[in-house]
Parts: sequence; structure tokens; C-alpha cells
Amino acid sequence: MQSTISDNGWHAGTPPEMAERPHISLLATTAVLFEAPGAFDLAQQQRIWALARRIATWEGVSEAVPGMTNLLVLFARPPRAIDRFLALLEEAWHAAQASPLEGREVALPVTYGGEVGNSLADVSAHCGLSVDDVVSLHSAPLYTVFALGSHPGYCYLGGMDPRLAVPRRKVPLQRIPAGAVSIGGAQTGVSASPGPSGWHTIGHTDWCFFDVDRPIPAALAPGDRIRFAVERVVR
Amino acid sequence: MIELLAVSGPTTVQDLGRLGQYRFGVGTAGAMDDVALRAGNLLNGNSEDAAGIEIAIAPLRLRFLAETQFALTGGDAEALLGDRPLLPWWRVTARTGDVLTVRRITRGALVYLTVAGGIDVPPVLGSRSTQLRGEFGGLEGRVLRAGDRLPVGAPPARAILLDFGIEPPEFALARPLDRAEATVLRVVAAGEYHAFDMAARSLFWSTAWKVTPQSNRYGYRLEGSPVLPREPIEKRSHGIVPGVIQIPPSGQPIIQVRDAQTSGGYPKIGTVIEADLWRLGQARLGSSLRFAEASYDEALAARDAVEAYMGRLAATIARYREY
Amino acid sequence: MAFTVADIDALAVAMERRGIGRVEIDGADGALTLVVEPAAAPKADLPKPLPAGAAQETAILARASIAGRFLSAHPWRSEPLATVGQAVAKSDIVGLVQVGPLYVPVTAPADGIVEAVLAEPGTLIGYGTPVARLRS
Repeated sequence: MQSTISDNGWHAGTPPEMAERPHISLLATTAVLFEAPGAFDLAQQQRIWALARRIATWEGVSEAVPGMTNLLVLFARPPRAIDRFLALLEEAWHAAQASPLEGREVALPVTYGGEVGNSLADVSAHCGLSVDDVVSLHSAPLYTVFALGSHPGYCYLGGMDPRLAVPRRKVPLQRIPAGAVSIGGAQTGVSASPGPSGWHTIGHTDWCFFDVDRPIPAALAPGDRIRFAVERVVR
Repeated sequence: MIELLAVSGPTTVQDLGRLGQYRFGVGTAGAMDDVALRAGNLLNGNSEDAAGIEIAIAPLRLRFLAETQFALTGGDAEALLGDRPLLPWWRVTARTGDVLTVRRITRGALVYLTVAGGIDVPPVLGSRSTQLRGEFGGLEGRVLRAGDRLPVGAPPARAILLDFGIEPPEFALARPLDRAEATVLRVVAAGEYHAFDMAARSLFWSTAWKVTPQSNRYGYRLEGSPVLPREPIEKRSHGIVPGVIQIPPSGQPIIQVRDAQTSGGYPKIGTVIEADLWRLGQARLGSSLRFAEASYDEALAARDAVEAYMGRLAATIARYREY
Repeated sequence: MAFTVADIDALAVAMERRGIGRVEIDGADGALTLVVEPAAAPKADLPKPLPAGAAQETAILARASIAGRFLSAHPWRSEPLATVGQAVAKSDIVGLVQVGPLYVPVTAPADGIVEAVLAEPGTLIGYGTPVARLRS
């Protein structure tokens, strides 16, 4: 029996937002990727969280990890009958109701500009905004943690003002420090540990996103909301 | 205790990986050649998931500060215990003060040193593997360097006294599609496979992909004729796993491996099956890779074959211990 | 074949105890021939090992400690483990016996010079079969 994506009738190759049905694909026998159809918005993401909670309890599943309107289902033991598993997954999606937003709210003290946030002036120039405007637009929203991923404790945030969008760097930086607040495309985020980055760093926070000594090592979870509190602006 | 005397490249403590932490953004890490680590542990009478040392670049020298049974598995190397040459996939006993020298890796890319009792660094989030990006696990979350001392766990009660070896897995796990000039990896088509036209797909399957020097535990960057989708694809960030083959805008594939980010956005043409990840781990820089299409069920069967091989090894070694 | 290492070992030990030199078993999925060369009571035509410290040049035999297929080299290495004229030290590996996925070493019982490699690579050898002859 062939069980590649081509045989299952999922809309392979169609951008998920154009498809009526979810796009479900295999990552060999390690995992299945579920991509929700439709818009990239909070309501759709809330359904992904609900689906994640449900699937995580299934036998043979080690984890169900939300991405941006998608879900990675990792297997502890890959199912023998994969077609049946994929059908059940799609059924579970149709049954999933949006999880209420019940996460906690945290304020992250941020120093804008300075040594770490040395791209603040570039972002201000690119966006045609004053440094003060960049800071106030960036610190105004209540951002929602959509998903965790990339590196330990890193949060994908929803809610950045589109006026702050800046194309990513053509040549990534070798290393930006933990706590670097940066903008890449239409997204913003905070590095949880030092590492390479193609984003533009506009500030810095000492807030700790990840601690292996905590029972749950990541400080934030999908559904939590954060606000950047302006500690100071270094010009 | 083991004392590192000389380390010349990225050498790390690894076990079979940190599972069940993906939702916190924590990738698996773990041995690139899991078959070699598991077999090395079996040779030492350990459980298969004990931690060992993954040696990527020779020369490496270390001293055993107590009598220690150890095994070398993975690639072949010019290795000496004192002045005595060692065979590959072999288990011996070092006396207190003995120096192990790995002079040169002569076959494959990675050599694993496993010891009876395992490398006993503290487990972090359920694993002793080094999480380089998170800077935890292994020894202080970093690569090993000269002067480091690694604790060794209590050896298993029923130690084997005789030196012996095992057949490397390339014999037991040989496949009809094996070739001398390239490492063949079986691949299951992934989410964006059908976004590539027939010509691009057949190029993907037929190319002998060169492993570039920019390949490491994070990812293998390959070089060949560019494989491009019909139109540029930007995916929303989604979880990825070791073995995923992404196609960035350059058309040159990247195989994400053990230290990769847990998420990505490039289109995915396929995923190397779990049962072949050890073969990828042993592919040398500059060597060639070829991809062979496999179904989900073939990937499952290949996984079963590796488990059966491990089961046979464990049973045979257990009987030899009673002998 | 359905024989396990343990089966073969047990059989070899039993044969040795009872002084049986050769056993042939035919099964549905293959045949097994076991040859035991009694190490404790060497045949008259085999050179007798002398106690260590004997002044004269004597022949020393490196014998298989388990029954299986004889390998003169590790399959990943082109050079044989023992070549004629080579100096070996006590417990150096002079050959391998493959039993299923296991490689069991044949070691030199004393320091010496390899005089002859007695076993044919790829053939089945028995428990106690001399693999190499050394001169002290």
C-alpha cells in the first residue's frame, strides 16, 4: 500500500489558505503536519490549540505542537494504518472548537536601542517613522503567543503593527544575544538564547523565557499575552 | 572519569535525544548515528540510550582516570589504546591512566565512544544530549574541549570480561540500492512535493548531491542542479523534524538534522526516513548523496528492520555474556 | 540457520567434554558442522605448548575460543591481523571468529613471531582450532 501524500487526496501543492480542506502531509514516519485551511488569524489559531490538546492524548502520539495555524503531530510509535490516522485527524479538526483565550498576561521591560538594539535607527529610517514612533507602535499592542518553536523558549507572536514591517537581512548575523527584541518581515519576537538571526534588533530585555530548572521550562505558552514595557530608549 | 587531553573539532556528549520537549521549542539533539550509539551501548552492557561521546573530527586524545570498559562504533578510525591499535565496532577495557588516541577517521564521518555505565553528565529535561542552542545538556551545554573531565556511571553489574566486536550495520542492514559512489537515503515525499513539476522531481531523485562543507549537526547543505518549485512558496512557520529536506530559494536542498530549529518555513520536498538517518550522519563532507523514493509503509518496514537488527545484537551479546 | 550462538557454544562444550571431534547436523534451513579440537589434550601430531620461560625456540598455537567462521582481517580493513614473520605480543589479535553478528578475537597466547596462519579465511572452524602458529 502506498501511503504518500499523493495517494491520500490531500491538497498537496495548494497553498493551504486557498484550499477548503486542511492540508495534511507526512514527515516520513516521524510526524504528520496538519495545516489548517483559511486565514492566518487568532480564531483559526485558537482552533489549532484545541486540536493540539485533543491529539496530544492519542495513543502513539508523543506531542502535538502548534505552529502558525498548523500542528505538528509527533509519533512515539508511528501508526501502522496511516490513512486511518489521517482521516481521524481531519475529523478531529472539524470537531475542534476555538479554545478560549485564557492565558496569562505579562509585561516585558525593554530597553529600546542601545548596543543590542542597534538596528533601531535603521528600522525607523526604513519605515519612515521617528524613533519615538517606532517605540510607541511596538510597545502599544498586547501580543498573543501563537506558538513556541525555533529554539528553546522562543515565542511566535501575533499582533505587530504592520507599519513596522522590515524585510529580513540578506546576510544573517552570526549571533545576537538572548533577550534581543527584533523585527523580521511582519513579525516581531525576542530571542530566548544567543544564536544567529536574520532579523533587525531594536531592543533588549532581561526577561527569562526558558529555564531548565522549572517544571515547565518555557515561561510562556500558546495563548499567553505579552506587552513590551518601555524601560528606556537609548538613542 | 575521563579526561579530555586534546579535542580538534565539535565533539559532544549525546544520547538518543531529548524527546517530548518540542512544544517548548526544544529540538531532539541526540546522536547523528543512532545505530552506532545504540550498538556501542549494547557492547558495553548498557541500556541502548546511555550517553556517549560523538567524535566528529580527529585527532582526539583522552585519558581514562579509572579502569573503564569502552567501545568504538560508527565510522572507522586509526585509534590506539596506549600503543595498541583498536578495531572498529570493538569493545575493550582500558586500565587506569590509559590514553585513547583517535588519530584519523578513515571511514564515515563520526566515531562514537561509549563506556560501560555511560557518560554520566546530569540529565536535563530527560536527556544527556548536548543542546547547543539552548546551552544545556551534555557538559555545560557546549562542545568538549581539552581539560574537560567527564563522569562515568556505575558499570552494569554483569560486565563482559573478554574483548570482542560486532559486525558493522552496513552488512546486516545492506540494501539492494546501496552503491559504492554515493550514500543512498530513502525519502518519503513531504507536503510541498507536488509543488515541484515532473522535471524538478526527477532532477531531485536523479542528482548525485554533493555534501558541502557547510554541513553539520544542524543541517546538511547540498549542492547540485537547482530544484525549484513551479512558483516561489512561503510557508507559515511550522514544526519540522530531523530528516526534513527543505528547498530554499536557491534550489539547493538542506536536510535538517539533530540540532536543527524545531520550526521552519521553507517548502519541504521530502523527509529522509528514520531508518536511514544514521547513514546520513556517516556521510562525509564532499561525498555524494542520492535519494530513493519510499512510501510510508516502506519507511515503517525499514524502521522495523533496524529494530530487528538491534534485537539480534542484544540477544547475541547477552548469550555471549553468559558464555 | 536456527542455531543460536549459545546453542553452538553449548554443543561445542558438550562435544569437548565427551571427546567428540565432529558433529554434522542437517536441518530444513541449512546444515551445521562443528569441529572441536581438544585444547586440553592436543593430538600427538600437534606441537605441544611448553611452559613459559622455556629456553628453546618453541611453537605456540593461537586457538579459536569459540566455533564460527574464521576471518583473517576485519571486513573494513584490508590488512590481515597476522602475517607470516610479524612480531606479536601476548593477547594481540591474530584473527577473528564470526558468530552471527559477533566477532570474537583469536589472541596470541604469548609473545612471538607468526610462523604460519593455519586457518583458511571464510571457513568454519571449531572451538580450539589452531588459527596461527607462533615461534617464541
